[in-house]
Amino acid sequence: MGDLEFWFIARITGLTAFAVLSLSVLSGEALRTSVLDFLAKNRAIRKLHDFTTPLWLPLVFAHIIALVLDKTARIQPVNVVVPFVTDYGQLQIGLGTVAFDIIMIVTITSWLRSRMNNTLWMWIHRTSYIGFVAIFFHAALSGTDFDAPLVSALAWSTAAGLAILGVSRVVWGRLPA
Amino acid sequence: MPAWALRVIAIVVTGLTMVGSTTYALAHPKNANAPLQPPVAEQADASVEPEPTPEATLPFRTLAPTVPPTPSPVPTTAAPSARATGLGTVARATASPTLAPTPRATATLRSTPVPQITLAAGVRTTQLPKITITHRS
Repeated sequence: MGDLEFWFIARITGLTAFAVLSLSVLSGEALRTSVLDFLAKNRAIRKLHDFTTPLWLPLVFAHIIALVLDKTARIQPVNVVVPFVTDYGQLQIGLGTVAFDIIMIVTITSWLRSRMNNTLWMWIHRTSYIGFVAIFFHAALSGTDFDAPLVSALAWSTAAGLAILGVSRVVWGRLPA
Repeated sequence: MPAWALRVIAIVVTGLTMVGSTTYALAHPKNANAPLQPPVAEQADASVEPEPTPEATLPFRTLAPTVPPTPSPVPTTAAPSARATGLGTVARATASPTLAPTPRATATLRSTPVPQITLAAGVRTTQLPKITITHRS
């Protein structure tokens, strides 16, 4: 496999992972609001939220591994966990690293939730909003395909919808059905 | 809607996104407008020599041709060489640099550039008429 194949894999998995992570954040927000009450009960939405993890996890790892193996991209293994130390695009690539670190901590703490203090778990889980913001700006600032009209429209509208939901949840609490 | 239906929807959304992004990525292998370009690509572009820009034409025809100066030859020097002795130490370089005989620089005529006059807007250049000698004193 040459650099071009790794390049394609990185772009495809990056776009798909963004879509699935958006679904994960949406289903997580839906649990705390009532926006998807028309679609399903909270129990079903909770199962959807849990189900998205094995969907986005391999996509994110494939995205990172493809970039590390791509000699043109020049991503070192240390850049996967330590942000802002690449030799180019520190901010753009660093945001991706920060996002990866956050979502991995959120995921691992969710797997260990039964052994954790619930309040601590909740505050760690809320950092997933920060992680999603980092993912979005990582994609916007460094994504090769983000200037395509369709990709850009879908991504911005998804981010705007999630942001509105999140702010509504914070300001008004649980929204009426 | 039951949980399994939501899972199916999630799988369908994932699959459709993957197919769509694969189609798009294969159709657009390179994006020159990508916000982040790896430095290797930038160096490759920089290594390509830019096309020579055409010389700007002078607004006025110069009255005297300009001859480019001939470059004077540069004397060449031989680099000193060091030899290792039998004891393993490196001998000090004793060879003195030899200078190639320099050819005598020939005198070359160099014309000075014609002074350029910048005319105000609306002023045109005119050809001066020939001087006709009418009287001899």
